[in-house]
Amino acid sequence: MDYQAIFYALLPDLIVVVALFIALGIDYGYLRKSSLANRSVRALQISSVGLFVGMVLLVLQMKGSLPMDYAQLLAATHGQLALSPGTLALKCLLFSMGLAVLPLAARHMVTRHVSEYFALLLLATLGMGFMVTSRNLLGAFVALELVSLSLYALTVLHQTSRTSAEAALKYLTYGGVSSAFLLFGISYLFGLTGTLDISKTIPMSEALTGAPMLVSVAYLFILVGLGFKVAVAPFHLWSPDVYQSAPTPVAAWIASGSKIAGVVLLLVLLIPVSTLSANTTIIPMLAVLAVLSMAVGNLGALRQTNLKRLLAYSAIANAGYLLVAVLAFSEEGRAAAIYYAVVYAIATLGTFAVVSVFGDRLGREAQIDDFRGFWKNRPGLSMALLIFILSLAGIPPLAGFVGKFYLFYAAIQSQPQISYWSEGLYWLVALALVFSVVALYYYMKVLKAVFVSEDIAESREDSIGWPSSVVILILSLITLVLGVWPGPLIEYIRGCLIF
Amino acid sequence: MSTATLALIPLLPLLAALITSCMKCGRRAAATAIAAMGGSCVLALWAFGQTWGHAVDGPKTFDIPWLTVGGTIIDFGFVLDPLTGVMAAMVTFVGLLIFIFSIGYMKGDKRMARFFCYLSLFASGMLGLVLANNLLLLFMCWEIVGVASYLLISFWNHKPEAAAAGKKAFIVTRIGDIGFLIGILLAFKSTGTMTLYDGGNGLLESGTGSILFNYEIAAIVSLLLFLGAIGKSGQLPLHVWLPDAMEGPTPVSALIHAATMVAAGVFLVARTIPIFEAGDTLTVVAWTGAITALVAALIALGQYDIKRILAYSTVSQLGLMMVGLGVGGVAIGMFHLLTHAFFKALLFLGAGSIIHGCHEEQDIRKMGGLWKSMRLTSIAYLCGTAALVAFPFTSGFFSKDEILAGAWATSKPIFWIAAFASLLTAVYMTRQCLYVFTGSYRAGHAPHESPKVMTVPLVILAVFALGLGALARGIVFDKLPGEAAKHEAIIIAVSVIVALGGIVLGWVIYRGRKLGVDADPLAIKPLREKFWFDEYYANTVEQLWSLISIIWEQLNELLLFARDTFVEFARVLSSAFAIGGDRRLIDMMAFDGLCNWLRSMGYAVTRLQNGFLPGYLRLIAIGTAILGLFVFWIS
Repeated sequence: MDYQAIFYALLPDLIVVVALFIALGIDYGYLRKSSLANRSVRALQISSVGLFVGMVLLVLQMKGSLPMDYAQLLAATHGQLALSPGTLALKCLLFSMGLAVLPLAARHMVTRHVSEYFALLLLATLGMGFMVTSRNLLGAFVALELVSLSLYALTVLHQTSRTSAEAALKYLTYGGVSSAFLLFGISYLFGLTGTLDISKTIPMSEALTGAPMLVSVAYLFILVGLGFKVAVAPFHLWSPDVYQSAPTPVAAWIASGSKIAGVVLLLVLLIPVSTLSANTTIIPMLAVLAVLSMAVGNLGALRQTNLKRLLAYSAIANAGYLLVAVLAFSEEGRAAAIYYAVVYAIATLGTFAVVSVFGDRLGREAQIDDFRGFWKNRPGLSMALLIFILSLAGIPPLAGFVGKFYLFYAAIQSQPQISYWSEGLYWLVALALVFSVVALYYYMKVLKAVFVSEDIAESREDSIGWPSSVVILILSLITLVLGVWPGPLIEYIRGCLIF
Repeated sequence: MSTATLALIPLLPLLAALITSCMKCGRRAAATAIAAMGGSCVLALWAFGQTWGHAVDGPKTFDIPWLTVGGTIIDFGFVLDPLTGVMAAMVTFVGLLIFIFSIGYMKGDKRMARFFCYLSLFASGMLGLVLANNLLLLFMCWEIVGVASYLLISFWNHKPEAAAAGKKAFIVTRIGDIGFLIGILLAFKSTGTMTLYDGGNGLLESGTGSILFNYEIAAIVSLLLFLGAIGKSGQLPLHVWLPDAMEGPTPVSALIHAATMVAAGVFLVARTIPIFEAGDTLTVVAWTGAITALVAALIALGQYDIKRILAYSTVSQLGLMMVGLGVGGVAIGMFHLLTHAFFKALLFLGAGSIIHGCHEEQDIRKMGGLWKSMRLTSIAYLCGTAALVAFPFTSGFFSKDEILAGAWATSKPIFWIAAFASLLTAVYMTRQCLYVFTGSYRAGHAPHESPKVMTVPLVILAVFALGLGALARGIVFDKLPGEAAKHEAIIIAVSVIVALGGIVLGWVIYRGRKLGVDADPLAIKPLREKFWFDEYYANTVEQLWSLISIIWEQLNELLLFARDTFVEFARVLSSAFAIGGDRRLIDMMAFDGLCNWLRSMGYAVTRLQNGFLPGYLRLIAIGTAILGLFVFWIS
C-alpha cells in the first residue's frame, strides 16, 4: 500500500487533528490560569486556522495540485477514501460551515471546558468529512459514530442547563438504538454481497438481485438508522428536545452539517439498489417516511412557541422534502437532493446564528414572542433573519425557492408519464406543495413577531462582534445569490456527481 | 462639414435646455444658454458660408437610419442647402441677439433660469425643424416648437390672460398641425418615403418630375401641408392666436412672433414648394396670403396696444410672404422672410424696451414724447419702422418690391391688394410712431432709457434692418430657386408712392390732434374689435362645442345611470356570494375549519413528544415494525 498517497489524501484531516490537539494542549497548559474569554478566543483562533488550512488543502486536492491517483486510492483503501472533485467539494463545504459555527460558539461560552468544546466541534466536522467521502460500509458507520458521539457530548456541554443533560441523555440512548439498527442493516447487506465496498456498484447490485426480500429487510433497518440521523419521522422524537436544550451553535451544527452528511450517506447507501427491482419495496418505504415527516414536521411546528423547537420541526419537514428527491432515484434527483440539502443547511445555519446572537443577549431560551420589535432594535439582523426564514419557506427569489423547485422538478422528471395517480411522484409533489402552504403559516408567525408586532421594551445596544456579523452577512448573501443565480452551482453538482 | 457638426446646431441648445432645467441661478442659466446659442450660431454661419461661399450643386444630406417600418427604413437626418443655410444662420443670429436682450428684460424675474431653459428648448426645436431632412423629424421639431411656445407665451402664468393665450396658441396651431400630420402620412402612403432629399429618390426631388406624385395627390398633400403652415404662420382664418400671444414676455414675442416660429409656416411652404408646384396649388397660397395681409393690416389700424399692433403687422407681413411664395417662388418669399425677421425682431425688442422704460405700460394712448427720454430706442425703432413701411432703400423696400413685382407679373388683383395692404402698413406705423414718440408723456412716472444689454442688440438689428436688403438681394436671388420678376416702372412707382403716401396720409390724419384724448378717427369699431373674429368663433365653434358637450353630458348621465344600476345589481349578487358562499362556507367552514383541524393535528402529533425516553424508544420499535409490516404487505 502506498502510504505516501494516503498521507496526501488525509492531509487536510491531519491538519485539523493537529489543530485540535494544539488547542487542547495550549488550553490546558499555557492558558490554564487565563480568563474564560481569553481561552475561548485562543481556542477559536487555533481551531479556525486549522479548519481554514484544511479547506485550502481540500481546494488544492480538488484542483489536482497534490500528487494523487484517486481511483487507485479508492481500490487500495477498499472504498474508504472515495476522493473526487464532488466529494472533496462537499467536504470542503462542511469544513467551511464548521468554520462558520466556531465564532458563534466562541461568543457565548456556556461551559468552562473551552478546548473540549472546540475539539468536539472539530471532531464532528472531521466525522462528517469522512461520512461524505467514505464508500465503505464499516468506514461510513465509524464516521457516523464519530459525528454522533461528538454531538452527544456537545449537547451536554451546556453546563448551567439541566435540560441540556436530559436532552443529551435522550439523544445518546436514541442514537445508540438507531446505530444498532443501522449496524444490523449493514450486516445484512454484507451478508448478502460479501463485501463492504459499495464503490463497486455493479457486482453489488448483481449480488442483491438474488434475494429481494432480504434486501428489503436490510434497507428497512438502514433507513431506521439513518432516519434518526437526518431526523425523519417517526424516528424524529429526539430532535425537538435536543435542538431546544443543546447550546445553540451545537443545534445549528446538528441541523446543518449533520443533515448534509446524513443525506449524502443515505444517497450513497441507496446507490446499489437504484437500478434494482428491489426498490419496488424501498420506494414505498421512503414514500411513507416522506409523507410522515412532512406531516409531523409541518403540523408539529404550528403549535411551537419556542423558536429553536420550531426549527426542529421545520428540520423534520425538510427531511421529508429531501426524501422526495431521494425517491426519484435518478441523477437529477440526487443533484436536487444535494442542492436542497446545501441550501437548507445554509439558511438554517443562518437562522440559528441569528437566534444564537439574540439568545445570548436575552440570557435565556428565545421564544418567538421575544422577537417582537426586533426590527426596530436590530434592522440588519432582522433583514438577515427575513432572508433566511423566507428561504426556508421557499419564497422566490431566495435559494430555498430554487431548491424546492428543482427538487419537485427532479421528482416529476423521474417518471413524467403516468396512467394512474399513484404512479410516479406527482401525488407526493402535490402533498409537499400543500404542506409548503401550511409551513408558510409558522414561518410567517416568526416574521410577524419580528416586523409587525408591537415591540417590547428591550433595546440593549451592544455589538455582536465582527466574526458573527461576517458569518451572518456571508450566509445571507449566499442565500440571496443562490436564489437569483443558481445555475453555476446546480451545473457544478450535476457535473461531479460521481459517487 | 460632417453630420456631427450639422447635428450639433440643434443639439447644442437642446443640451443647454437640459442643463438649465436643473439650474436655479438665473445668471448662470443665461450664460449657459447664450454660450450654447453662440456655438450654434458660429456653426450655422459656417454651414451658411459653405452653401453660399462657393457653388454647391444640390443639397448635401447627412442621414442616420432611425427605425424600420414595414420594410421602409426611416432615416433621421439633416440637409444642408442654401435654403436651410440661410434660415439656420438667420435663426441663430437673431436668436442670439434676443437671448442677450432677455438678460436685461427678465432681470429680477424669479424664474429666469426656467425662462432660458424654455428659450433654449424652443431654439433647439426651431433649428431641428429648419435642418430636418425628413418630414417626420420636421414634424417632431415643429411640435417641440409648439410646446416651447406654449410654455413661453404662458410664462407669466400668474396672469390669467397669459395662461389663456398660451392655451389658445397651442390649440389653434394644433388644428393646423392635424392637417400637416395627415399630409405627411398621405405623402408617406403614396410614396413610401418621408425623406426630403435622398439622392434622387426623395420626396422633393421626384415630386417635381411627377414620378412619386400624381397631380391630385400632390394637390391634396400640398394643401394639407399648407394647413399646417396657416396655423403656425397665423394666416386667415387661424390667425386669432397670434395677437393674444403678446401676453408673453416681449423677447418671446420677438423670438417667436417675428423671426422664427411664425416664419416656420412660410419656411415649410418654401421647403416643400416642389409639391405645391406639382399640385398647382400656389394660387391658393397667394390668395390666402393676400387676404390675410389686407385684413390684418386693417385690424392693426384700430389697435391701441403697442404689441398688438406689431402682432397684426406680423400677420399682415406673413401674408405678404405667402404672396411672394405664391407668385414668385422661394427666393421672393424667403427674401422678405429674412428682412422681416430682422426688422420685426427690432420692432418687438424696441417695443420691449419702450414697455420696460414706461413701467410695463403697453397702451400707446398712455405713452408719448418718448423721443426725448429714450433717444436710442426711438432711433432704432424708427429704423425698424422705415424698413417695415418699405421706405426706399431700406431692407423692407427691396423685399416688398420683389413681391409686388412678382404679383404684377402673375395676377393683377393680388398686386392691388398687396399694394393697398402696404399703404395701410405705412398708415398704422405712422399713427403708432406719432402716438409714442411725439407730444408729451401722458402717464405717471417719467420713462427711462433701457440698459446697454437691451439697446446694443437694438442697434445691431437696426443696422441689419436698414442695410440687409441691398446687401443680400443679389445673393438670395443667385442661390435660391425662383427668378426675380422684371421691374417695370409702374411697380417701383407704386411701391414708393404707397410707402411715402401712407406716411403722409398718417401724418395728415393725426396732425394737430390731441393724441390719447380725442377720439381716434381710424379706430372705428370693426377694427377695434378685430372684425369680431374671436366673437365669431365663440358664437359658432364654441357654441357648437358646448351643444355637443351638453348632448354628451346627457348621454353620459344615461350611461352613468345604467352603470349604477348594474353595479347595484352586482353588489347585491356579490354580497349574497360573499356572505353566504365566501364567509359562511369557505371562510368559516372550510378555511377556519381546516386551520383548526390542522392545529389539532399538530397537537396530536406533538402529543408523542411527551419527554419520556421509554416512550421515544418504544416508538422506534413500533415504527420499524409497522414499516416492516407495510413492506411485507406490499411485496
